[in-house]
Amino acid sequence: MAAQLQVGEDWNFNLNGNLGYSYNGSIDNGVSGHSMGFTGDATLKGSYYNPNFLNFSVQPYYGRVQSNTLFGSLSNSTGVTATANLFSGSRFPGSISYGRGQNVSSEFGIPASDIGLAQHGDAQNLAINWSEIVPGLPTLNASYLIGDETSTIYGTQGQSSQNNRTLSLLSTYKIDGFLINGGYMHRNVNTDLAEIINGSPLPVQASNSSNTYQVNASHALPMSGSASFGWNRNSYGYDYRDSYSTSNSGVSDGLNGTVTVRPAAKLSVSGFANYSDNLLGAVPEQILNSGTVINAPGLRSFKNTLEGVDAYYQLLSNLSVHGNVAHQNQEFLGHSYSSTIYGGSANYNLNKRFLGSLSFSLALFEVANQLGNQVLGGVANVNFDRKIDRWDVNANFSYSQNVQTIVLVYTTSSYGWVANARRQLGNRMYFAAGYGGSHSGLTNEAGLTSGSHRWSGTFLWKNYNVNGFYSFSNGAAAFTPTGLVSVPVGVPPSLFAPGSVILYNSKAVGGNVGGVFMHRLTFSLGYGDSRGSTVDPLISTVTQTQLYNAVMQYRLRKIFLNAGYTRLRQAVGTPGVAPVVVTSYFIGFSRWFDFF
Amino acid sequence: MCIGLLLAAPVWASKEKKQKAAEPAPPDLLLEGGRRLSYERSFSSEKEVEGKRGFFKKLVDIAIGEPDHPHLVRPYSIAVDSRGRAIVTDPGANGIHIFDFENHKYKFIERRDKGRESMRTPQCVAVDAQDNIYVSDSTAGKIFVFEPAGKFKRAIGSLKGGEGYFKRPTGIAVDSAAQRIYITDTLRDKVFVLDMDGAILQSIGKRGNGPVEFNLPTEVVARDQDLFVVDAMNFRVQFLNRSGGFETEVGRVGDSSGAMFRPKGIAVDSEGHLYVVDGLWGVVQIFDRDGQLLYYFGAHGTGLGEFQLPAGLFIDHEDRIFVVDSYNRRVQVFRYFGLPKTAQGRPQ
Repeated sequence: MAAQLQVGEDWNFNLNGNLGYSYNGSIDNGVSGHSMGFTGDATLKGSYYNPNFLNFSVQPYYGRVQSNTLFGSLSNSTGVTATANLFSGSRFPGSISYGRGQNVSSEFGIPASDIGLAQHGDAQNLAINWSEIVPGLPTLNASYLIGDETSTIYGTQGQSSQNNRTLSLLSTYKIDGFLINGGYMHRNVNTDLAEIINGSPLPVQASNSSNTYQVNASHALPMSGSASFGWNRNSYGYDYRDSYSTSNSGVSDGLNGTVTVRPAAKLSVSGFANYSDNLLGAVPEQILNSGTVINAPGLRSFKNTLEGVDAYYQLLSNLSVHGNVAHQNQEFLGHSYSSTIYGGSANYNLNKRFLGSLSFSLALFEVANQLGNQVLGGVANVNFDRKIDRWDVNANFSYSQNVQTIVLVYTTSSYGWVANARRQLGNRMYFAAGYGGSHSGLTNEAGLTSGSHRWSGTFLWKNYNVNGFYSFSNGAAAFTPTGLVSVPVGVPPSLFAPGSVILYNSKAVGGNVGGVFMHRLTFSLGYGDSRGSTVDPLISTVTQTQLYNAVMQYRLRKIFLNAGYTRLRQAVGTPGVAPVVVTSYFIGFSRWFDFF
Repeated sequence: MCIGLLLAAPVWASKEKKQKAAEPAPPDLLLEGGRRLSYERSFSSEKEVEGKRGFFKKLVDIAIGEPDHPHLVRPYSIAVDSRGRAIVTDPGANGIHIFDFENHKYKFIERRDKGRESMRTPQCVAVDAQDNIYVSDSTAGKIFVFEPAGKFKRAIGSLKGGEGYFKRPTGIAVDSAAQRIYITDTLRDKVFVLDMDGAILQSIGKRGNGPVEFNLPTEVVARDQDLFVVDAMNFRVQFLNRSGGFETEVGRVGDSSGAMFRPKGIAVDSEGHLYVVDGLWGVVQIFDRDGQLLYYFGAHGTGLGEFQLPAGLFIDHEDRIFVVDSYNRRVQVFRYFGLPKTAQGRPQ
């Protein structure tokens, strides 16, 4: 039971945390350092007058207190997170949250890889949120977010940074059966990437800002139907500076309307009409929001109109059919295209066991225009789930084919698979193994295929565990300060300037042994090795990371004896680059207190 | 210096804790004829068993903190042996707590990682005249027997291969004088009668709603020549004789006083009154042998004298009533003061 401190009549506080003392040592490329000092963390929670009026939580930490476990004992970090909620449950609730971390270890991610590159840096963010929820009046939600972070990958000299600002206003209103909502969002992202990361001769600087407006309205119709209409506008500006500079800006508008009715219980019919101009203007915005630096080419006028009818019929309890007819007009880069699209799909779900343990689903669609049949697309899933002897076995294979109508017809496909087996070997003894992967299929861009494979195994015995994995992946991606980001599925890479999309490949192997001994001693030993490379048209970069990590904690009542050791060997740069070796260790104790 | 700073903090913390006011006990319930029911106390962890801590223990507590006190997690059933020790089954902690208030001792019994003889869901508990502890395991389908000190003695109903004979044993009662063990098998809708070696002598009942028929029987109590069986989904308690013959029944379904909606633990006091816990309403109802509701105590809540999902019930020879307040993770103790007794032990 936690104690509580009451100050006066209105304030309530609750504080607990750990205070400790530790000895730290490090060897950074042969240069050793030693220090001793206090460490600690705390959680202060409280309220004023009533928790619904004001409640707050502050969680500072100082010293070797890491949220990241993979690179957990590499650096001493200090920071704080705090949240305050005002008028909760009232018609005008609001909240403020703040977070700040200094010298925080983190991971520069690589898609589908278990081990990324170790990096360290500072980060802070502030979020303010306020709402108005008065019955009978339009609701309003306003939020403002600020985020700043800097990071340096071990083994490199440059520092990457990113800051972003987002203002969002959303409102909904119900009147005379209409549900109306509207919103505005402004977003500004500035990114500086260190030159060593992408191999460019100069650091990359990019900034973009966007404004998005949207209004939607819907109303119920007879026959369980509904009608909805919407408008949105997205305007963006984008500056890029590398060895050369470029900038572009654009505006896209979209109008859409849909009417749906259900004349029979099993039949649903809808008609729709959409208009958009400069549709491609939204594509770079979608990627840039994640902080990606991509040098998009200038996009000229684009117009698209699409109108059609869609019908859905539940033929049997587990079989439904769907068909649509649509007419489309597109103007792109000075060319006009027109097509009529016939589409259809059947969804079949077999709940019964098939051949003991198989189930599958299939959806197909056909696209045709005045030139004839174009593409057969679809999604297929096969599942296997069965107990074989004492093994629980399950597997899945899925295939999807997607037809883009940008530049009339653009086809991509991908497939993935996963298989797992698990069995109980004895009393509180288990073994599990898995294999999964994914791969791109059809693509219009030669050399931009991507794929990943991962094998893993886990052995559990009582409170102890041993696990290991091996994975490799490759594909197309773009840089952000927090890691590589896969190019979103369905976005044709040809829309971007040559060199914007980077090829990567990565292999990783690792293992971990851990457990709890006698309910008091918690330990973990880990090893990881990752090797990879990135290739852009200018330069190749190789990466190599080796990590040894050991941590233990022994608990004696409220005293914790802590120790940790981490050795990182990381190389990032051109082939043959010398690796940086960072060794860090600590030993100390801490005591948990429930102060008040 | 740093150690000094660390030691100073808990002293400050303890001063604040002492300011917290104790919750007042519920008032006595005054009953007909000068009888009354008093609230005595509640307990929930090892800490309440401890005696006064000495100077050095206090010093160590200040330096490295107080030790972890095992706490009730999801207590279900209770029995009190001849030494006054309260024995509480706890399926949530997968073990049995023994609270010895007289000797300031606490013990936790568990049987993890014992292969086929592992205890998985300790449900109900009973003790014999030698204070051996009998625990039904509703998942393993067996009865585990422990010595008074907690040492494992044997398992009743363990088939070749380790499987349990019973489908879901729940209630258990031991009559040392008659050398009989009574076990309700909830899924079989039967009460099994065993000798002290674990051999099955007789099974009582079948599925149904008539006399000596059950719909998911749970708790069982043997008292004098009677056998009381909670017939849970028939919303009644059946009174049987030791041969399994029907005598009478108490209870009906409903949501008013005197009805039973989720009958759980039962017990009988020195005047022969039947106490029935109702898990849903959070009360203990007291009936006479004719099924007449005499009174009830408790209410749904978290305060003293209130219950949330109460389950087990036990009345010792001094008419102390132990109610397992399961969701509140505690046992509450009341005491019934009946009519003054004559030298022969009969009520005046």
